[in-house]
Amino acid sequence: MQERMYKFSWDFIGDLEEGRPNLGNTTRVEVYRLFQYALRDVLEEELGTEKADRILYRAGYLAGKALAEKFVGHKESLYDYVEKVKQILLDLNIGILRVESADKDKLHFLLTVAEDLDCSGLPDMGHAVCTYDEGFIAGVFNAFSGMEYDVREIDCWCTGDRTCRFEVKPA
Amino acid sequence: MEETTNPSAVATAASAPEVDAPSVCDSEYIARLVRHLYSIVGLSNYKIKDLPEEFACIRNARELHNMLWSIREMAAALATGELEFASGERGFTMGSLKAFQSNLRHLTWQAQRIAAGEYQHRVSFLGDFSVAFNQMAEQLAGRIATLVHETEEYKDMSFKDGLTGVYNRKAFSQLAKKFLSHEANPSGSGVLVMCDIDHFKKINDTYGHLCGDEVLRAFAGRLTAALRPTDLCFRYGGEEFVLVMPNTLIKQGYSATERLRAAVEAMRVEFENCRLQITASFGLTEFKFCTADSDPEAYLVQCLQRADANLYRAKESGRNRVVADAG
Repeated sequence: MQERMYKFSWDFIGDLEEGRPNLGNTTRVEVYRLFQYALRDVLEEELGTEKADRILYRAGYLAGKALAEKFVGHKESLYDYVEKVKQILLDLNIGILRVESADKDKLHFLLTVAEDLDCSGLPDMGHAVCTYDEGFIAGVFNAFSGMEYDVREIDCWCTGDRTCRFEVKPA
Repeated sequence: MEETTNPSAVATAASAPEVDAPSVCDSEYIARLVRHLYSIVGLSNYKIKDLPEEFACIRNARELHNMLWSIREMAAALATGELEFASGERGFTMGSLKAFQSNLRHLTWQAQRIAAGEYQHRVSFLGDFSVAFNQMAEQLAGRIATLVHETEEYKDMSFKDGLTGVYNRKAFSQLAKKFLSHEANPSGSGVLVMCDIDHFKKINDTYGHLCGDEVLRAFAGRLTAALRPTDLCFRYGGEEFVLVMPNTLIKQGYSATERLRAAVEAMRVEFENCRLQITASFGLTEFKFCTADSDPEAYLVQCLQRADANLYRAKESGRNRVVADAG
């Protein structure tokens, strides 16, 4: 198989102090959204909505798992793990994660992310848009338990809600 | 639940109505429609759940009717603290109510975690809720920590001898089983020492009980200073002390006790204008944890009896000496 050019590693984050001594380590949310939605436009045009969403979900999964493995690490308790994830998402200004309900026996969780990086403030479009976040959350949960989860966004800023709500269940 | 129309379409319809109904210019008709819609959100005992047929021809009227009913029911559920009400309606107002419901559910979950003893949970970005909840959690965590600390202190006090600060006889009974555990005795054996200040009654009679107390304190201090961190010292009686040396062979225990005897003999107890020299007698015995499997307390009593017998032999043979099990 041909050697891949962009297999993810934290090398792709790089040394930001060295690389951006003047502009620093921050940019605006608009820049992030410009990138994401431009990419989604092209992916959808070339591959169709369903396939584009699948790709975005997988990318989110990869990112969530990598972030959790690097910054959260191992925790004995699921709730301690979620607390740590919550703090990291706050520190990185990704969103405000909250747990609405958690059934540890059935492994069903209902999470909300307020001020979500992907969608908060977007106009009402009649459908949820946070496909990347769905994958991200699945990746985060996989990093904790090694299990696969299905994550589905059931409420979104783009459906007129004021917070994104995700349902997490074992795959 | 009926699928809702795209809210944008509703907004569009509301701004530029295109109605097929012949009564579109009939102000009474409009007034009835408005009254009906107002009643959904305004009247507490309004029960018309289905859109009256006369309004069915107005585009999006049914959707608006359904949305208002959902908003009404959601608001009523929230008002009574019922957090499970689900609605498929979308849009700004329902979205805001759902966000409110979500926040209450989150607060409920946080409260349940704290009730389970996870006092580290805090709530953020929920305005006054956050402030009050977090204050409560912090106060609770602080008080629990204080309570635990005080409980440990009281427990400790109840196990400690008030005069000398070493463990008391009650503690010996409670801790007995631990001496015989594999964790305390990986080598499988230990040494139990019973010791006693020589002529203590005479010290009390000659110098008074306050001096006697000072002697006891000094003696206990000398004992504990010489012990390892894993060894234990108990005040078993008036001037009687028991030492427990886990994971120690009898020969090692004997040597250590002999050094203790010499240290006691060498020390001087100062009290008022007096400088007293004291001596003590020591009786040793060995204990093995595996032997105590069936009845550890009874086994320890036997060990105490053997140590006591050796102490008696030490006293009988001149005091200020260490006697171990024969052979």
